[in-house]
Amino acid sequence: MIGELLTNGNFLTCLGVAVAVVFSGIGSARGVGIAGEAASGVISEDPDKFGQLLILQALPGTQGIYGFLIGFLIMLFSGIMGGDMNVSTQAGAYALLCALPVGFVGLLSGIAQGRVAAAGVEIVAKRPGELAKAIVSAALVETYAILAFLVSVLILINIQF
Amino acid sequence: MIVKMTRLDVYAIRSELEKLIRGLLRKKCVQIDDPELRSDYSQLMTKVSRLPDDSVAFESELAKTEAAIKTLSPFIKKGGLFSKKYESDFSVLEDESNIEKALGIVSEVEAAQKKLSDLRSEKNRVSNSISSVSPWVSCDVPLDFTESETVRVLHAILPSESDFTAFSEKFEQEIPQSVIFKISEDSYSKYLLIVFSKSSESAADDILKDFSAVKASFSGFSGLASEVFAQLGIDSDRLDSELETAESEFKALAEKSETLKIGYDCIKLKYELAKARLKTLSTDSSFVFSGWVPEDKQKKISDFLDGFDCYYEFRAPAPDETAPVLMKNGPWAEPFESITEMYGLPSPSGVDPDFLMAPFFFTFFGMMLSDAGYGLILIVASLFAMKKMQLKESAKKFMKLIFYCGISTVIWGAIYGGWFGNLIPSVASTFFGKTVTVPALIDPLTEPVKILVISLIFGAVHLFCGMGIKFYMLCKAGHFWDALFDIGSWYLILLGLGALVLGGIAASIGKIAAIVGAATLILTQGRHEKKFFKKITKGLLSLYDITSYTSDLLSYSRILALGMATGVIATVVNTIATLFGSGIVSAILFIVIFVLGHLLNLAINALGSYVHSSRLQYVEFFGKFYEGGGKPFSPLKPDTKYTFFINKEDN
Repeated sequence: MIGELLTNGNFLTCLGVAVAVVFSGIGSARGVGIAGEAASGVISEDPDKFGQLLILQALPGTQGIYGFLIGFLIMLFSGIMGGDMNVSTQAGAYALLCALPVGFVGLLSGIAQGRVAAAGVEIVAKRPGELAKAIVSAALVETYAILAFLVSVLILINIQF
Repeated sequence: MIVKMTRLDVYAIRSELEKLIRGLLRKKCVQIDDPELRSDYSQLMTKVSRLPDDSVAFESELAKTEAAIKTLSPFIKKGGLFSKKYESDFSVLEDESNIEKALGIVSEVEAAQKKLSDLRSEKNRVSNSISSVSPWVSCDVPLDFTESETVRVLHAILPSESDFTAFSEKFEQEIPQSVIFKISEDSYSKYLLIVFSKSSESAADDILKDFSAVKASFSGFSGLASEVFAQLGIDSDRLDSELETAESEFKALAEKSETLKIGYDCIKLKYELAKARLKTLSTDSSFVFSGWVPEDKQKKISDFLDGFDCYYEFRAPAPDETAPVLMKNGPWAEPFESITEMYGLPSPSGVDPDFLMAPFFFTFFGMMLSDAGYGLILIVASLFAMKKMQLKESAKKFMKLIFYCGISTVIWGAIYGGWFGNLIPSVASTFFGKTVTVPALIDPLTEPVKILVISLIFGAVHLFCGMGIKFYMLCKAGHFWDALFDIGSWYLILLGLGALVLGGIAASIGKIAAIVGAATLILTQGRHEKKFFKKITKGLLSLYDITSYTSDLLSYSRILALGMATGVIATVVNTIATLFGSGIVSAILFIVIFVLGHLLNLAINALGSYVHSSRLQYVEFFGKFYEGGGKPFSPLKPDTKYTFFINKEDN
């Protein structure tokens, strides 16, 4: 049964969609959560900083979007969206593989970025003028999520469904 | 470009201090330095003195006025996003009567606030009394009747946890001539009237204590509880209506909040002037201060100072005097100054990179957001904000930046063929059943490698520009050979390696160039070491820097990734929006999903494009040459908070 599933292209493709969306989504959810907790502490003291802190809190959210995009593109290209899905074992395996970079890098970089963003919240709390520096620090982490996303896209585009 | 600053020293007559400082504030182009920064400060202080600090008085006035504004703010009608602040100028800010009026209102507000809080505490007291009297309303013994010659009358409250039967039995046993009336009870306690002989007072007290009952006291009340209760009710109603009047007083005062705000800024101006006066050093009859003037404003300031009985001097800064930094660029590069400012101003001896950075930021932002529809939104929004909103200089600069970024986004969106994603083809096929294709020069989804290569080429040019600036800075400082060895050799290596890709004759030239460059590096990078062995190892190790150049270059691949992300999310939004087919209901659903989805995408990706375009400047570009640490030029000028200062004329 399991062996049969693992050679089923459709199953592997769906698994790929799940890997891309699930892991990057967890990473972003954790990241946004960590940053949000830190931001709420500051907002309770100074509600006027909400706008600034919202930007910082939103930064670790991109990983989840990248994962969602890869998942969506796999669905689009493999025909899940259209309803007629008939993927070969090989293409399905590739689809699963292409989900790995965005999924796993998204998971860890999302959390790491959330921590940098939370530290950035401290910067904004003490020096409201230095928001840009906090944002740039957090964005440095995102680089690796972007690279992973890029590799996932490039693999995906070259799969013959 | 960094504006050249000249040092200004002024020696003038003490009696003209106020007039001179006020005049300088109107010129808005002189920064007065703290005297502590002077190298001869301690030496000077034996002969001169600092003025007494009179800014504190203004500070407390500011705090009072601000507190009044805050108090009134819930009652001030909100005017929405585009409501305009009062437009002030010097004639308004220097008008003393504005301050008087404002302080008058401040004391009115304070009085009203005191009245309100008095009323509130009165109301509180009455409410408390009501709740303490109300259980006794049915009692027909007056509240102040506590004893006769022989008998004690006690109002007691027994908590409901204590056993009432046991309590009364105990009383009966220990104090035979006692009577207990239960007046009322609620879920917390029972309210008891106890009458007993005065002689057994201490025994009664003990029992009360055992059952944790308390004596109710009604100091200040006389007569029957029901009468007191009725009177309290009347009082409470009266207080309610008085509170209402007091609150409406705030509403009336809120109408005058504009005067309060103008007054605040008038006091603020006096505060700034007082602060500036503190920066002078004075004797009984004269004073002295030093500061900075942008070179192109020298004429204006000397014309102004000629009207005073004073000696002044413009001179080049001494080596220990660090000039503040003011950037000045043409209309094209000016908006991009805000990017540099966020990173931190360049050092006074450094380079203002805005003119070189501008085209790259412009291009990168456009390639990352890469949707012509979003670009149009940015253009319209920024134009609207510049036209309709009162923007300070820095905000105006930022809006211009958004405007430029919008233009670039439209251009790149058109190249990628993205107009709100694939809006036009998907609407045409869903609602009209037609197939339409939007022309695109490069489609990122079918030709991603092409865009990747373009991104990396732009990145390489960007990096080379950064290295070029470093080369120029080294040459300017007289280190021509350093420039040639450290930067020139890398130019040879990187260009040579790049040429290898092209093949043919270019490849063979590139090979030679790369080898020459590498050889130069090996031979020169250890030139500051003394030992031969160290010279060679350091030279060889410097080749390892190729990894940092590679990672810098690869970093530009984000341009492709972010561009793709925008386009794909836009397409996803359109796909979901058109899922419901054609028809009226689905058209409405389409519009809702379309608007929300694209707004979200625009918000996320505009932020992303801005952040990552900035990052490419900060890390990859500035990393090659930038010397930061400049202090911003902050001239003496009016700084308003609640009014919008209009720069009418330059005097």
